[in-house]
Amino acid sequence: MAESEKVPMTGGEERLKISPDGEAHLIGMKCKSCGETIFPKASLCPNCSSEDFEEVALSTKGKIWSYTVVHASYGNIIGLEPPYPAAFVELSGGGYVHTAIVGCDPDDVKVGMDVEMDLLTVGESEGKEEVAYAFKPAST
Amino acid sequence: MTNANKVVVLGVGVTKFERETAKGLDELGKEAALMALKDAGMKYSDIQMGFCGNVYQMGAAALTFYSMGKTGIPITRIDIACASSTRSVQLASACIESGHYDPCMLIGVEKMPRGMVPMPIDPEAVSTKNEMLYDGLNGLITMPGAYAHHIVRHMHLYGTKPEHIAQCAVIADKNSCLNPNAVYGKERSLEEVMNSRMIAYPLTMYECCANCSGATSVIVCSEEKAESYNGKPVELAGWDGASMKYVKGDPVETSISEGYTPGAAERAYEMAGVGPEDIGVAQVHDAFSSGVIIHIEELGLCPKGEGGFFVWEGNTEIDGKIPVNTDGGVVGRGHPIGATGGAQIAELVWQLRGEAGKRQVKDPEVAILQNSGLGATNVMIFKKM
Repeated sequence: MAESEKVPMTGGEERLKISPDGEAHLIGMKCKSCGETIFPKASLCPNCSSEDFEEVALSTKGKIWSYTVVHASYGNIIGLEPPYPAAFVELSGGGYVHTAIVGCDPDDVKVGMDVEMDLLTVGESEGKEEVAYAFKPAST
Repeated sequence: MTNANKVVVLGVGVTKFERETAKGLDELGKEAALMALKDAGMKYSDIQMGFCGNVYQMGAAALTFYSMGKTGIPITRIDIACASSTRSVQLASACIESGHYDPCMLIGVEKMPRGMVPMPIDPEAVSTKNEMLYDGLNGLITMPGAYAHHIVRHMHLYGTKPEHIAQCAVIADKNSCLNPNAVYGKERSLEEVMNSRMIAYPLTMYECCANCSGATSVIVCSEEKAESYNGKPVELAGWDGASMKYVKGDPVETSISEGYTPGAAERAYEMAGVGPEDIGVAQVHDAFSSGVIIHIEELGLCPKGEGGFFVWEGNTEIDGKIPVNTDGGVVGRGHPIGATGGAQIAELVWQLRGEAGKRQVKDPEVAILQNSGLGATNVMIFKKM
């Protein structure tokens, strides 16, 4: 049975690009004025306020820059059971993403850990699978 | 501003902070305001402008100021989360500097239920693409989580340990026992703090402030106007506020901090004509105890990276090198969100006047506070007169 097409969860349409072949990456912007790589996209560069930028595909790999382990939360629609790690990941080649870390024991998460993007099923809409990005320990 | 009036704090008032109270926020506000008026030797009819620091009650300015009287003055509710009361006093001070409204009164007041503070985003009111909403739906947004991110990076870079952070709460609780207005006034050991329920690693429940109901009031006026009253003025010598600022290479400061404190501190010190070495007593915003470590460094009260060890070695205790949060701070006092900044101001005023009783620090001449919340950080520097 063919896998159903994956689409970003509502609100994530400008953050996550998923190709028909299933390849996925985050969408950022590179400011032509100051050179900063920004995620998620914004109308103005948050560093220099320029409107002159280009859309860029961000790497699916990076390192944990900081993290916490959430034990008490307001809930989430991506299926996480507390305790779960939440981290800022520094992506290879530029950009930072605020994300959950999945696929490991929360106690194993460390600053500097290599991680890579994963997709979590959030729901189903019009025969398509709604997904959200998260990051997991990089397969060595 | 060469012709600006010098601003002084002439009166302060703080109610007891409680987890639950039968008192309405109008009663609480009036209680604090009457204390401040008595302290300043003023009548309510002397006040020319009112600010109400309050987050959760629409109409709070009318509810509180009308319970004091109906004198027709302009009144405004200021909501910038936990920084509402200090922002109110800053805005009032700008009016006094120009002489437009003088004197001005803050009434900070909050009445809060127990449990997690409501998530500050109404999904009906923001676009689906909004950063906070998206991250919220992904389970990434919590206030202790934001503080935790800051301190985990700090632990990685500087070797700060969970015990150092917990010690901030131990000192807060110890100091709160000397503060009759504090919500609990109960000492806790390091073990008790560290073994309490984990909320957002490394922050445990006893490292998190308790939501409270309570009120604070501050009266500011020009130095010249203060001469007509019998109050004990303290100079507001320097101040500045800030919001979140993009910092290259620092996603935590850029995305989830409460505002760029180092910038506000630099401008406040410059305005006051003093430096960190002049500070005799301080208040910093410790909604979660890691805030002590982060903010004392940002204010230059200890070298960057050394905040954890600085606290661990006793330097921030009442008899230490730089006493911090002598009344318990946010963790020790309890947190009526919109009102908290008024309690910080009051404690520093009492310290500079020599009226802090058992909490009194020896002869402070200059004091600094840092107060922050979602969307703001404020720094204010006071001088003994």
